[in-house]
Amino acid sequence: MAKITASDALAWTQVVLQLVTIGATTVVKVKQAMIDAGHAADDVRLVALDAELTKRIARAKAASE
Amino acid sequence: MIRYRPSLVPVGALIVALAMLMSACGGKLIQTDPRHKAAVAVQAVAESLFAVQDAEGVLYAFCTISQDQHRAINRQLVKALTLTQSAAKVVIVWHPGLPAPAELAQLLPALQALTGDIVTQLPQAQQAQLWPTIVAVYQAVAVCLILFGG
Repeated sequence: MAKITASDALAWTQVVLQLVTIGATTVVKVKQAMIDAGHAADDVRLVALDAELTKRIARAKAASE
Repeated sequence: MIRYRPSLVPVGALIVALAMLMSACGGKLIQTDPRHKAAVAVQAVAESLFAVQDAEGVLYAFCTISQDQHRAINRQLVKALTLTQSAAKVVIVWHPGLPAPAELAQLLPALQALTGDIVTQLPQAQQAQLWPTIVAVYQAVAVCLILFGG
């Protein structure tokens, strides 16, 4: 049966630690990107809503006179 | 002696799986965001006011309401729509991550009350039709006020 040496164990640990760090960073970046995309979508909807509100206000003003 | 070499494949697959899982959860992440909740509330208020305005227009066209009622409702609609536009602008300039702007905690309840007032001026049948949109406004505004502590 093959033996695992101390240097093998160290190499394994370093690689796993690096990958865990990369994984955690990736998760945080993806999370933030999704939240930013959500905010951008909200902004697009709100700008369109602002334009529609301007039209509706003009219509209501005309009807209230 | 056989030396073990760390295999990157399982760990790499785990990272990809985690990234995909986070992407799938992205929709849920934004749904719990206060700014998004405020955007939803402003849209709900605006949609309900649009529905009221359209219903009122039809009622006036079919002479179900008088000209005085028509003018009075539209005067209130101008006020409500202008406040909604102010609320939309406040949300647009609200930088994500910062605390909720104080104006929103005042504007949203005022809009909620005003929308309810306008609807009560319409005939009973139209009030019943508009009730689901008004309930949506009350729910969306209530969620915001809980989040903002208003």
